[in-house]
Amino acid sequence: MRWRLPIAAILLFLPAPIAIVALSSVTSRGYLTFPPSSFSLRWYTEFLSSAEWLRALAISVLLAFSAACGSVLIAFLASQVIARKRFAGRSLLETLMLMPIIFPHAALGVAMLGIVSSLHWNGTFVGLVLAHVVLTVPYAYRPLIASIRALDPVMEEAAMSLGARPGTILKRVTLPLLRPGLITALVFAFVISFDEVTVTMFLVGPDMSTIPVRIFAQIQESASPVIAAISTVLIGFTVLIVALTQWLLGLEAFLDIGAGRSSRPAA
Amino acid sequence: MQLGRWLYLGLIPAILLLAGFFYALFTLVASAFVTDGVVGFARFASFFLRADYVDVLVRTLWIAGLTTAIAVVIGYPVAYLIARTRTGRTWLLMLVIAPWLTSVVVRTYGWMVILGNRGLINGFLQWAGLAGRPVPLMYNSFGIIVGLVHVLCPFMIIAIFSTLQQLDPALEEAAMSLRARPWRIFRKVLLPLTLPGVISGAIIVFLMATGAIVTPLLLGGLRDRMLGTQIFQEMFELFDFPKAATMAIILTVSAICVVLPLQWLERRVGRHLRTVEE
Amino acid sequence: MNRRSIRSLAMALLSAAACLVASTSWAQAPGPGGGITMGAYGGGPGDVWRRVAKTFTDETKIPARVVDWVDIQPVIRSQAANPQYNVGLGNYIDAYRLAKDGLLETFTPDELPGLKNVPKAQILKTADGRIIGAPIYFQYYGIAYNKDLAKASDFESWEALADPKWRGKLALTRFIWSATYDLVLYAKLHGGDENNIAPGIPLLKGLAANAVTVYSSMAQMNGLLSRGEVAAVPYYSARFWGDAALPGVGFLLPKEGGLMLPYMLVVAKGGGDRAAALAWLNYAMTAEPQQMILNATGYIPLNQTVKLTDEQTRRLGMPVADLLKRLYQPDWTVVADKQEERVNLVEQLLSQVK
Repeated sequence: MRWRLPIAAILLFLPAPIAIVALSSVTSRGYLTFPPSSFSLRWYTEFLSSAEWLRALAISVLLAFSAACGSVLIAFLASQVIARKRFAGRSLLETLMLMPIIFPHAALGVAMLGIVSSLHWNGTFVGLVLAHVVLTVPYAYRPLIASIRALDPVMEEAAMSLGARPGTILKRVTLPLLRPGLITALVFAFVISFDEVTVTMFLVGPDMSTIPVRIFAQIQESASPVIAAISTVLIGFTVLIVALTQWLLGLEAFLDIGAGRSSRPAA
Repeated sequence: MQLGRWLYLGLIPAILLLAGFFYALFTLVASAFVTDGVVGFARFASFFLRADYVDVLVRTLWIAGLTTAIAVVIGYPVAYLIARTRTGRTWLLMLVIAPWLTSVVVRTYGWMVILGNRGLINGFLQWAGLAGRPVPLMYNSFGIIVGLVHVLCPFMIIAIFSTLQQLDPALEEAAMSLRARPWRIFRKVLLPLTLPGVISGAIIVFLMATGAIVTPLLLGGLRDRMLGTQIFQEMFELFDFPKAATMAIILTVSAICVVLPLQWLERRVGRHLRTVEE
Repeated sequence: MNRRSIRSLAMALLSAAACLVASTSWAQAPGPGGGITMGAYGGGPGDVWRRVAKTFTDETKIPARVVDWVDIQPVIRSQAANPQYNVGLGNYIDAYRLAKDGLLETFTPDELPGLKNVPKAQILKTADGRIIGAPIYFQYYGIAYNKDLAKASDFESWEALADPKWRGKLALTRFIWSATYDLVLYAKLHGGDENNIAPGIPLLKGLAANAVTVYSSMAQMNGLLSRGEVAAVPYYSARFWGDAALPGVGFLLPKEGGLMLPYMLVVAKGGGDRAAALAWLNYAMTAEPQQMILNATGYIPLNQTVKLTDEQTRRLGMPVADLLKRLYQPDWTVVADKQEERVNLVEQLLSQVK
């Protein structure tokens, strides 16, 4: 089809700056140059042998994972109710669920800090998870509610008429059908939490910092290419995990639930 | 569903979370309504009296709107391609997701190399004789929009992809077998059925664009300030929290004015679809 | 092992890891006997301060660690209720504002004997005469330029920044800094000073008219300079020392002089061990650590007893005493008090510059 060309252009646009960064990260000079004239992996060595960076990476990953699980759980429960029941204030609640994105993050940091430090949780992992759950709930909520609304109630009704209990219906009918929405919600929440800087900046401590905050702290007084190396490593890491997951578990299965099975009633 | 009343319990965690969130916001928001001990709208008035602040607000809204529109136009075909591709789908998704994992500071270096006055695109244009002087692709609104679309497009793509997934390809096949042309299929079959996903993506992209802090700072010029960056300055550099709160409230209200109609539209379309399917 | 059990295993492992991290991270400020936790800017400065911390601990047996933070004021202000750093490095505006808001420990001159080696003008005091912290080192504001696009002689004078031939080729720093550093310096050059900044406005506007962008970090600015996107910019001297120096980019102090930018160590109120913090401050004011820092980063000691090597003097271009004479040293308390109103002024002025 003739519109494959524009799509190819878009698909090139997406990784373009990243490719440049990845290429610049193998420079042996002390600053980013493109194209690099001399090559070295010293920035990768610096990153991978630095206890602080690796610790920040571990914290970022665990934080994003915990925040994603927490916010998807909360958003899932809420979206089930909002989609199925009519009650006073329903649309208000929906808009309120969006508030953490509507209210600018730049101003949220201080507000979150107020609560977190009154609990003496600033600089702790729990404080970070709490703040990140609040921040990511809207991102988890949107795909879930869109997913439920696109769901054909016929499937659940059929299961009910066959005598299944609500727990079984949830496990065997609803959740599998909502899988694309659930995965989307988890991915969104994870990525938002992973990248979050302006609120997180207020909540980190000497022992507890995330990758984006460390990068932010680094760039003020340093132009070292190590941050380019870090970004490339992160991407490589993700590609690796995805490849591994696909090989071990068949990730396609996660993403394949569509292709008709959701809206066609079982004949 | 049979659970009946028990189902309402599912709202409790969300309500608790939101309550905590609003409680945290309360002091900050309250400070915007107090000027020198007097309760009132004086801070809001002084915001709107400054021509450059109004400029910043207007610019923020139109850049966010344009970014959203472009993200839809670019995102839909990509989402469609990914949804309808079997093999290699995971890798296409990786292509979409990978930019998210890089810090925006680092990504901007890449943009500078590509879009800068001495960058790859300008270099090509001059070599090909298409431009006598460097075309300013960066340090202006164009640069900001490119950067924002790049960073926010994946949200749109995945939101639309997720909805396309739940769609039965038989519907398209039926339309095609009835000899409908692609554009018509899109307009009458695909778009209406995936509209909830599109609107969902649009809401997220618009909201994130209005709150953008670093991208306008790094990719815009002297006169391309956006409100998110402005609030950041008040918060982190000048520590004038009430002023930052004032700006935050103004931005929130403006964003809500755009999002509420979108949400209403989403609910209407959802309801409409349900009745159609029955 | 089938898919389902692998999935569950992965989830369980991640959750366990998360709980482990959560339970081990109840952080608090080091209490008495807890040593020093200091915050400093990341990159070069942070690294050398960590070496200083090591020699300090070797000598005094007090544990000390230096952690990179984003900036001193946001961190100390936000942690006032539950401070986790007891010492911080900041500029004089940071120190003055924090002290004014009651967020810092203050000292008597007897507690900081190293002060006798510091020029009197650099000792920052509160309104009631208490010392705010330990002055450590300084750098200065000059002009950095890309050697391909400009020559050193092009920027002999600060006025060159407003020359229309550099239209679209210069850069400006964020308003917070251009209103604080640039405006005050340019005012001084035209007969004003930190109290009267009006004479500096024309040059600032001229620079803004020529500026293609506003830079917000060293990483970004170095990229712009090395790629030739920008020909010249008012910039910081310490960014051109040692490893950080960019080939192809030069730095100079124009003939009218420059702006002195001093830094000091401050102690957060309620942030743990005051005695240890004092020991650290006094140590940092001695010659040995300051010599170490100059070698590594180009920040010039404020301790006047530190003797520079010939190599260092050559790199600076002149003896420290001469340098100090050529640098404008404003009253930072005035600059700090008027900072917000000047930022507002600069924002409005520059939004009209085409």
